[in-house]
Amino acid sequence: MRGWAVAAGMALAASLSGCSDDPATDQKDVDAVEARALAAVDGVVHDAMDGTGLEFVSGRHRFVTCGDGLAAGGVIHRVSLNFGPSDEPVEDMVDAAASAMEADGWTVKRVENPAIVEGAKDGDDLRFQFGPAGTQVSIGSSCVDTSNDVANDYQDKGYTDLTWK
Amino acid sequence: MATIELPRTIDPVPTLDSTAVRAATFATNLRAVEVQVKDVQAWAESQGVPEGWQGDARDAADHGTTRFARRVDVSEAALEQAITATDRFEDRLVRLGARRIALANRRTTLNDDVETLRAEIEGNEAVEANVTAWERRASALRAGATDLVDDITAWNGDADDAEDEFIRSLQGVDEIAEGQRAGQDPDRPDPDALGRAFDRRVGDPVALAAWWRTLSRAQKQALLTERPHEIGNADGIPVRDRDEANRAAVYSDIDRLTRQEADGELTDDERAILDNAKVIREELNGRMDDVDPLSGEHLVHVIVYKPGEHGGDGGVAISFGDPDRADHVSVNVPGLTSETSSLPGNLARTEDLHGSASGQTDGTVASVFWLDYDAPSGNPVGSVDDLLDFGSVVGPGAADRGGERFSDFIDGLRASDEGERAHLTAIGHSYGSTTVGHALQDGLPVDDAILIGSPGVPEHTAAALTDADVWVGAKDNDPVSLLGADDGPGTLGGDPAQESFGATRFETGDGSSRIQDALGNHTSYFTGDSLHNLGAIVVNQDDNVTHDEERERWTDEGHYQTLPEYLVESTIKGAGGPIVDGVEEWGRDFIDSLSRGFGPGRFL
Amino acid sequence: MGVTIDVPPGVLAAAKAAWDDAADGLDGAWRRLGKASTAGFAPAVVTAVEAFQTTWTDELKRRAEAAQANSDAFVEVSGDFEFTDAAAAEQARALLGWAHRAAPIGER
Repeated sequence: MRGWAVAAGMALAASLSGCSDDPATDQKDVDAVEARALAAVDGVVHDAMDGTGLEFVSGRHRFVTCGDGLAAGGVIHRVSLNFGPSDEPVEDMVDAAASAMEADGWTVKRVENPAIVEGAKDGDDLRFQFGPAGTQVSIGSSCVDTSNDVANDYQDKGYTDLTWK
Repeated sequence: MATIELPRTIDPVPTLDSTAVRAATFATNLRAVEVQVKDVQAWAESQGVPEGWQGDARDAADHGTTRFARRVDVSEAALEQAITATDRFEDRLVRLGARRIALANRRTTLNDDVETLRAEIEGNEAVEANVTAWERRASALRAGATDLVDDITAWNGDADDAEDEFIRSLQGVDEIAEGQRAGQDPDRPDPDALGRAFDRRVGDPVALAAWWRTLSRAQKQALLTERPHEIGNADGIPVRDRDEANRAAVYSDIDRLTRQEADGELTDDERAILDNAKVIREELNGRMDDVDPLSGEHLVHVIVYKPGEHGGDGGVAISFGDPDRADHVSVNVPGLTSETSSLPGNLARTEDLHGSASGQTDGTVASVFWLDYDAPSGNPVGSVDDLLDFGSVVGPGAADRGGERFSDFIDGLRASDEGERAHLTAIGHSYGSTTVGHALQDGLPVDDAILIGSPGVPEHTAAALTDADVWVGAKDNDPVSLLGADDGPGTLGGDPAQESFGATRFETGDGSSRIQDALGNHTSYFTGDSLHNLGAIVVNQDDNVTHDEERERWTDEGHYQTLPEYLVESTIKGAGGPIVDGVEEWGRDFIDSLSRGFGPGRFL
Repeated sequence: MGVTIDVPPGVLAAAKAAWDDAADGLDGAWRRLGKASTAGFAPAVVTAVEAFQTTWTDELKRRAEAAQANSDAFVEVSGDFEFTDAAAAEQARALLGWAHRAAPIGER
């Protein structure tokens, strides 16, 4: 029994060590996900936010590994944008964001919290959370399978600032 | 003809020119500076004329180290006052921001009401009954407008006063002579005495929290810059103060060790500390402008910072939201291969949980990532040492020790909790679920416990484990979750997903059955339906949780897939695809073993 | 022929290293204070913050330089610490801990 336990643990250890695809293919897939998210920032996020008059504070994007560093499994691309406070009712801004997402082909989901609206498209999640003291917009991709090395390399790049054009 | 006077439209409430978040950032920098100054001053003072020395004053004055200590103390005193002033300014900005939001809401309502009445008057006949009612409403609106304008004026005055006070405070110590006077101020806090009082209470979160509340702002700031690592990690100290101390420690460590690195004087241990501190700094910098949408305060708090512990892996806990003030608090404990360097992915998952939970409630939520135990780590196929390190995952020792530390942390959160007692949920993933299990076994004071991807917990029923509600997330194609079966190979305890365990299993999906996807299955509980369910449990919305059937054994319909069955089947299904390193060999071993007498569904 | 301070072995080397550490600590301090951002403050506040920063950045920089000079006062020659004359040795002795304030100074 004990021997089996160790063997099972070792088998899992091996299976959790990550896959080893062609790095060039990995990179292409990852770059495509990044490009899609940045296009969404320039497109649907602008469409949603431009009418609100909210001040853009800052924006960043980066990759994180799907699993832990030594068993990374792939990467997730994440974007976050911060906007200043607003005196407008959050419901109006949520409606505007929902309309912009629908027009761009996102599947919109209203949640219990009336200050939040979410959208899903092509494996990406787009989320707006409005509030009187600040607004946050985020985009997260699903996990893109890569080798551990490629995943960790992408994560190690850290944050990149986004400009708001 | 009757004239009804409506109040004029109220102008927007002015915005604050200074922001609380930026004041907090400036205060963090001042504290990090002060920590380094205090380190130097304390050393010099310890080398200088001893306290209570009664000899010739000229001897002391001639002693270079004593003179140096006294001179550095001047900067220290000035910084102390500036830190206290900035901290107070930040608090005032937060309160002003909250008042501003309330004023803005009143303005919107009032202006809307005026427009509604105007439209009603313009669209209706001015018969007497209408006029009387309109006049009554208009009168109330005029009174409301007067009150609102007065309140906005008062708010403006307070905003100006906050700035003026801050400016005066800084101007009071912006010359060397003023710093010298600050150093001689009889009301200056005595960090040594405060430190002794702290030492007597540390380890008792309730007593520590009660004592901390009696301190002045200046005393708190003096102590947390004197002993940032200890205050930042002391269970019972309020989270916001721990965050201030820990940020000061992170940045001052980086400054100090970077200099040492440049001088070629960094030891291996110090290298690990510097690397861990830099990982945390990157996470903080990337979220510098993330604010609570309701309060405008920093969203992220560093609650544990122990960069040199756990053999260099470091200990860390970071929250999204303020656990002391949130209605719902979750603390998630990671498992395999977790260390400070794996913070980016772990924090991203915690952030997603915070988002999911926040979306399912009108209340406030804080989601904490806690990694202050020696989680099994190392590349399992990197070397023999790594293999042995990873092999320890099949033993409960680290989980037992980790469980004790986790209990202390949770006790601290309970002690520093403000207002109504928070609804608290402990979440353990993978080996972290075993760690949480050991803490639960020792009476962890939580309302809910969630075990996901669990290789086993130290009791065979939820009732024996804890009084809390126990939830389980287990993908059938997550091999780690199959380790704890009654007759399985795990040494960590029972599988909490089994029906006999008595927990509630929620929907997570089962994941792909190919061996290549085993890792993906094990690491994707913080996505999709599983994430939604986690969020629902965290905010106590049990009706939002979708359920899955608990695992049943030996029924007429058969039994759920055991680990060897999974490994064989998933290896076969994965054949031809990009194969995971090493799995072929291990799969062959398993098939080999099965052919030597292991019946389906059983380990012998 | 050099002048020495008669203290137990290692005291002078430790003092040199400690002053060097002090210089490093203060160096990090003034650099961080000097570059702390004033973004997000009202203009009047920025003026006050910058005045504070200037005074204390300069002062900490001076203290860092003094600490470095104190470290440099201990000159190691062929594995031993020697001073050019008695005055230099007295100056260096004042930079040791209080317990060594009366350590004998003599020619080697």
